[in-house]
Amino acid sequence: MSPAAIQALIALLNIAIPGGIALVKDILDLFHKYPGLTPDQFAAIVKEVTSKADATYDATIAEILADQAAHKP
Amino acid sequence: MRQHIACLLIFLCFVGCAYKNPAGTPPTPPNVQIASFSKALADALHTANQSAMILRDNGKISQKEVLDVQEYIVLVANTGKQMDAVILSSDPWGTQREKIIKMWASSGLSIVKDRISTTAGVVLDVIVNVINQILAAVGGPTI
Repeated sequence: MSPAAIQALIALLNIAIPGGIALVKDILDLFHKYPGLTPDQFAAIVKEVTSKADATYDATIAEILADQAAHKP
Repeated sequence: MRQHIACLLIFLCFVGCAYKNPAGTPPTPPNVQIASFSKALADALHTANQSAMILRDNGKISQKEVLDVQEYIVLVANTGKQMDAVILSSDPWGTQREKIIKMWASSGLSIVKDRISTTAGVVLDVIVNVINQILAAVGGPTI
């Protein structure tokens, strides 16, 4: 399976199953279905998952800043 | 809020089951496990913040308590981002593992958490649980 195919599969899973939580579980399931993934392919998946995690971290921090601005004493 | 916490607990059960390694299947690489935990942590932080705001809006906790919770959440989020940068680096897993243990140990989380009231602290329980799963995965001391 090529990195591009993995990316496409991840994108499909993300659309088909609402929420990143389900995505994480499906990525782990993917490893069991395709045990022959190469290190480069693993790296592509790590990059994909961490980029989603970082986006969620950033969104939460932005939400906090907005909330604090709206609740200034 | 209970719905959010229930969803997170169910999710943690899923993640926990996913890490079991049935006979005959290769183990999941450690950095992939940590990446998955990081996504779980990011989701838990987002839910915790939402929960704290709902508690405040319903008069259950004060704005000061929300600020304490949010300080903790931002601290964990920034540490989580650093951890993601480490597992994306070209360092070997042993080096990455040591860096992850050190960054959580020096994050000052316990100092901030000590300031948080018991009522407000409830929304952080799932976060602590996920951090401890990360620390267990890298062989570090839990918080």
